[in-house]
Amino acid sequence: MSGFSQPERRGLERMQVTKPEAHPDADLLTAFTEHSLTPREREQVLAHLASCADCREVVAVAGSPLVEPVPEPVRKRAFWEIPVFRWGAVAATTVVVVAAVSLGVHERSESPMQKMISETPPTMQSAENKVVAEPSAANEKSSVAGVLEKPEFPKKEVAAKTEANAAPVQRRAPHLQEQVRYEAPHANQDKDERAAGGELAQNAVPAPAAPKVAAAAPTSRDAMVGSTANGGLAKGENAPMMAARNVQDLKQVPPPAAGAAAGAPSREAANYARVQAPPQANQTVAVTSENVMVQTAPPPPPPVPSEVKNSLAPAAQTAEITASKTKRLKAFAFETGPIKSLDTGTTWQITRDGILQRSSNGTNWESMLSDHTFRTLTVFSNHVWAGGDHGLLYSSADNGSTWNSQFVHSGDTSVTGTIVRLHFTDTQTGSLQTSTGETWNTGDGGQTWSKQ
Amino acid sequence: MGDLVYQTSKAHKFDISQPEFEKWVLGVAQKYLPAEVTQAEAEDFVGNLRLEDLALARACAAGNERAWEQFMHRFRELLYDAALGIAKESSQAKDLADSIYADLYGMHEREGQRVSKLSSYMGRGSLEGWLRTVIAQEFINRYRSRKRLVSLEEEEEEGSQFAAPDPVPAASSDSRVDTVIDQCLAALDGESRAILSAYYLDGRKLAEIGRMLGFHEATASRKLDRITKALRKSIREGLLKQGMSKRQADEALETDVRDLAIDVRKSLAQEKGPQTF
Repeated sequence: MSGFSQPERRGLERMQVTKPEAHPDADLLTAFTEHSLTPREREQVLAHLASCADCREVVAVAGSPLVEPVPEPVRKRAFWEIPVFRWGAVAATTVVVVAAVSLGVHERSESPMQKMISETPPTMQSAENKVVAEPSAANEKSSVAGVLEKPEFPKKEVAAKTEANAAPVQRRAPHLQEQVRYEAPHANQDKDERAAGGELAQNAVPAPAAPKVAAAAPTSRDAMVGSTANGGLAKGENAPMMAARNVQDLKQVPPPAAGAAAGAPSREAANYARVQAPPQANQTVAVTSENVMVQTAPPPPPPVPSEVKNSLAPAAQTAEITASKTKRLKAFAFETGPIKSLDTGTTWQITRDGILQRSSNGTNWESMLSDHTFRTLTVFSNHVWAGGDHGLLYSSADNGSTWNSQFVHSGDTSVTGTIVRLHFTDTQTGSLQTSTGETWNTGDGGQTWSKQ
Repeated sequence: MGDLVYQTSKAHKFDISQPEFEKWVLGVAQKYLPAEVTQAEAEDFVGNLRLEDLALARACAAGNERAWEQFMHRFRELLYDAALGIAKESSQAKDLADSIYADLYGMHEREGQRVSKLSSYMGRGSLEGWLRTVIAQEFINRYRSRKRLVSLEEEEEEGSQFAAPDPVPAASSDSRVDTVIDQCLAALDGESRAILSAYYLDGRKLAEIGRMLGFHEATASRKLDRITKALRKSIREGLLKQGMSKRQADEALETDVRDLAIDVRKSLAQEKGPQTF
């Protein structure tokens, strides 16, 4: 940084007014820090701050976080952030996925999974065969195979299969896709966050209402990993689940549904148990006709951006998941972004220190509501919701220009715990889940809430 | 729009009537909006107000018990957490928070009427942010008043009677330099001057400046660098226009010899004596 000479410094000192005529009131200073002022007002406050050390101190002190955040390292623009390279990488990945799927189809006859199926009891075997033999797209079959095979397969093969699994995951309905995205066990998960996730799962948080096919009939792969028929989390599971992308995630797959959960063996054994045991009432291995229907349904057309378009508002689009977000999902249970709204082109994220940030170009980040610590966020078009501890919830309907504090309550009952999940299917309809196992729904963008 | 404003505020939960609430909103608009304002601007202004927070604050100021219950539920912890974050020391923080709470509740009376600080909340920013600002203002005022009341004995112990007087900002030997510098600084926009003041006068870190002004630390660094370079360039051009040569202009902007002397004087200030044991 270039230096500042003493004459220039003295000029700044001369600029300071020892007794200004009028200071901005607390409302204006607050609105300034929250970016709620008009441009003209903001310029006036800035001009005052430039010459009033007292008010600068108030703004600095009022905005100071409870814990000093670690400064964000300056991110160099990686090669995949350059559009040409990014789309080239997408094209190359697609080629690899297609090749892996093709290899998976050819290799199935020799796979351990086939041996396993041949050893399963007849009752289960019929279900397995039904799943495997259904003339669905190879992707769905390999996804089922991939789940069953996971304890046996070396990491790279499972990774290949999970890449194949990525395709069907992406081709599901947007709601289910997001639901799957949120259900995330991670090998590298921080202990506290794992505990929070575990606490959440143990309280049996069901998913919010979803389109009929998606809600009633998750793919059998989801069924294998313990989802209930309504697409929610099975009771008694130790951690939320996701469409896993590596064997470490898959090893974290929780035990099956409540009926089999009590005194359940290890997770890997539980997977086998689901395969071996006869189907029970809540046994997710039992493939229902609806599941089969989903299995056999032709895959919806790609690509991902059109996939996530909102059917209610064609012009509005849900968030785009960036490569770095996938990496982040593996490290945290919370949805912290980066999430990019294709409508506005704005990317949102929450830093490790809980600072909400937005960027118009993915490189320069602007902190928002920096006196709050957030844990999770969601974006729908130009609507943003960010949640944190003690039911903290802020929303913006104008891409972060203005914010409203939402008080999540119903009558005399108010939300407890940390908001760990936020999910909106449009700008009005959404839900949140807390660390204490509560689920709250809203139909008016967060103005009012009802506890589920 | 009045109905929408009233519904959004949920003021009915605290038995606040619509005409009463609209009167409050009108008062806020009259305070901040210029006399000549379009309907669209007025609607935009009202739309950006924190109506729910305003209803809650004003209901509390009026003594509504239900409002106070909600206020305490939402803000009791925040008050203490914010005070702790500002004061950095728990007993001081508690003292600060208790004092603020008393002001908010309205422990003082004016003309027989209970006066609550919450009645001055206008809804321009969030109530939570407003509380933090109020706490910060109170903390800074207390700290300043405490500094003025330091005892003479304490000053003698610290050897303050031997301390060199605070140096008065010395004028440049050439008055043209100060004139040009003042002109160039005045030509900068408010944000640029605020960044320079916060960094060079207050000694704030870039992360702090970014938090204050609403951008990332890296952005603060780039802005500071750009502003400093642009200022130096405009000052140099101004000095050349005043008839100085390039060399004279560069020399004028270098460190003044008198400043070096002042630095030496500071470094030779009396140190504290050795501890007895």
